[in-house]
Amino acid sequence: MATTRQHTNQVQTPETATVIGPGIRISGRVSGAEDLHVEGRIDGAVNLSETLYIAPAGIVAAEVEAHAVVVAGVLVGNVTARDCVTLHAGAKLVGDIHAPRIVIADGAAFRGNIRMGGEVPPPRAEQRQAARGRPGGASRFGRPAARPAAQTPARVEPPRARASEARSEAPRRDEARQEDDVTVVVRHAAVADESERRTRRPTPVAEPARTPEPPRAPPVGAREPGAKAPPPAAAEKKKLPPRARIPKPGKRRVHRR
Amino acid sequence: MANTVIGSTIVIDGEITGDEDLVVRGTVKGRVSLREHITVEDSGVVEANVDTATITIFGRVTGDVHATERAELKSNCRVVGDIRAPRVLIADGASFKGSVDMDG
Repeated sequence: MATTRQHTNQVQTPETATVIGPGIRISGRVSGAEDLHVEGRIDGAVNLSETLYIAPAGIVAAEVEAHAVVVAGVLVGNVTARDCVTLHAGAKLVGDIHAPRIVIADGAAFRGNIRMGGEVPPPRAEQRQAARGRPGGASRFGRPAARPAAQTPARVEPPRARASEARSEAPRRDEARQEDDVTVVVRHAAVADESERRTRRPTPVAEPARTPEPPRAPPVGAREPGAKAPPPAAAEKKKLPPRARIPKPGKRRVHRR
Repeated sequence: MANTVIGSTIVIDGEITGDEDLVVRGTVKGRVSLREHITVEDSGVVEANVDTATITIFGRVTGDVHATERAELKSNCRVVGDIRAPRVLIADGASFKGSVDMDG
C-alpha cells in the first residue's frame, strides 16, 4: 500500500520521474538516470541508474539493469540491481535476480534464480567453474565462494523453494534439504557427538567403568579425550560437504538455465 | 488519466505505441505511433517518424511527422522532416526544414 502511495505521489510530481502510462507500449531500449514508473508495457531492455517501478498494471518484458527495482506488476526477464529488488504482493517475476538485497513479499510470484553476491558475481561464477574443473583448485576457490553464498541465500531459499517447488528438480532439492539437516548437526557437533556416543556406541558406557580404576581420570576427564578425538574427524567430514554443498544449488541452477 | 512522461534523462531507442498523451522531455529514437497528443518539450529530442493525432513541438524533432488533426511548431523549436497534417501552425521563431502537406 505504501508503494501505491509513492506511485501516486511521484506521478503527481512528474518532473522528477518518467511515467509510462497504461495506454503506452514501448518496444526497444529504455535507458536513463531517473526513476521510471511503468504502468503500461515495455518490451526490450531497461537500463537505469535509478529506480524502476512497475505498477500493478505494468508489464515489463525486458532485461533490466537498475539501481533498484520495485515490482508490483509483471516482470519477465533477468534483473540486475545494484541495491535492492522488491517484489510486492501481487507481483509476478519470471527470470533471474541478481542483487545484494532482495525482498519478496507474501503473495508475490517468482520463478528463477537468485544471486545475492556482491558486485563481482561473474568472476565468482568463473571461479566456481574453475573449481569444478580442477579438483585441486576446489579447495582454494570453494571456500571464498561458499561463505558468502552460505550467508545470504539462507534468507532467500524459502521463497525460491516455494516458487519453483512444483516445477523443477525435486530430487536435487531433497538433497539440499538433507544437506541442510547435516549442517544443523555440524553446528551442534559437540552436543551431537556426545549424545551419539551415549546412544550408539557401547564403549562410552564401558569407559566410565574403566575410569574409576585410575583415580586421576574423573568421568569428566574421560569424556573429554574421547570427545576431542572424534570431533576433528567428524568436523573434517562435515566441513567438506558444506563447501561442495552450498555452491551446488546455485551453481547448477545458474549454469543450467 | 495518467500521463505518460519521458523524463529528461531518459533515452528510448525503439518503438512507442499507444493511445494516450505523451510528453517527451528526454530522447526518443525509432518510431512513435499514438492516437492522442504528443508534446515535445524544450529539452525533448525526437529522432523518429511520428504518427499521431496532434503534436506540439517546443524542442527538436528529426523525422517525418504525420498528424491526423494538427501539428504545432512553437517558437524556438527545431524540426527537420516532412509534416503532413490538415492543420499546421508554425510560430514565429520556429526553425523548420522540410515540406508541408496539408491535404490530409
